[in-house]
Amino acid sequence: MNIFTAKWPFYVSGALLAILVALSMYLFNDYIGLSDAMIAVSDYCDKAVMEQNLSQPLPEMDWQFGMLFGIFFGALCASLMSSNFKFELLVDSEGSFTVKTVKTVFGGIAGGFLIMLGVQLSGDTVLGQWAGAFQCSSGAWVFLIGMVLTSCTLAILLERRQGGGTKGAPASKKK
Amino acid sequence: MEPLNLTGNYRLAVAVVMGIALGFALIKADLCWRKPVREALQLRNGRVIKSVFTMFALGVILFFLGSKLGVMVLHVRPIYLWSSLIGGMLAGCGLVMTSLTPTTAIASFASGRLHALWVLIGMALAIPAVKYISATLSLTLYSWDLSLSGPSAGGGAFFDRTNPALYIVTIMVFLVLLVHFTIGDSEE
Repeated sequence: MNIFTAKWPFYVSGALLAILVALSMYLFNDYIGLSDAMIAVSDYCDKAVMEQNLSQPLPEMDWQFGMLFGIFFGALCASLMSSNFKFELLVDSEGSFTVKTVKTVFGGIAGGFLIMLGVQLSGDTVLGQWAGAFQCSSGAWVFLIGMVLTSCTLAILLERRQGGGTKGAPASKKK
Repeated sequence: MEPLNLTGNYRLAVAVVMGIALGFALIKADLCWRKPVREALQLRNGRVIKSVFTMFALGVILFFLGSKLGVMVLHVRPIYLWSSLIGGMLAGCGLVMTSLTPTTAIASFASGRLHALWVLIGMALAIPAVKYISATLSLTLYSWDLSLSGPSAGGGAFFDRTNPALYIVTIMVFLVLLVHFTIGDSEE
């Protein structure tokens, strides 16, 4: 198996993610999380818009920004090596071009807004919550359990509503 | 022993390298694609679910060992029940709509999925929105919130019955086996 091109088994990718999050706690003496970097960028944009002035000093380049850039280039390399890189403007969904565009834009903005709202209320990004869960933090586990239960319930209900849940059912209706 | 706690340019350089590895692992774990994540949420893709549960099981063990050796110390923000629960539920609603989280949205965008940009814009809009409603939040959610106790490493040994890590690892291993023998892996 070529590790750069082939898909990894679940125990390899899961183990690597665990090692990276744990290793960052050792190397940086801080839990991994990108919320501070995102808040700094948002503050910069907020100030620039409010004061109509783009000559604000840029946010300080700290380790979280470094990690953000790293994630970008790591994902770019991985997708290029495994031939997964593909330009996609619209999400894969049924419907006309207009429907797809509306779903992509409004679904993306609303979904992103909700995720970041939830993350802000709970105190850290999902990656930070993973690190919190490693430390047996009850808050991180409450967040993750709430997120998984809500998303699984909604995803299954939406699938049933769209008729996807009947795909695996016995073919009694076909008679 | 104590955490390495890198400083200066070394800290920045190592963060970039760690980020590259993390981005690579996120792509290889299929956590950046809409379809596998959506299928995992619908309990139809065992591979993604098993990756996440394996990560938690191993991560808890690694942190336990690291804290025993003194190379990792606890870093947890103040914990409140309702903020965490409502925050998790809101993030869950967003996850169904986008199948992405802040980190995976960046990785997804880097892999050519330009529609992830809309998700990032939505995330960027939420930060000032929270700032503007922070006064309301202070009077409502944060005022009636319940503070939770901080994490505890338990007794001495890993197999000590008071060690929460033992229970978490046991549950995660059980869930991995359950998913493996029930949902399975669609590509196997």
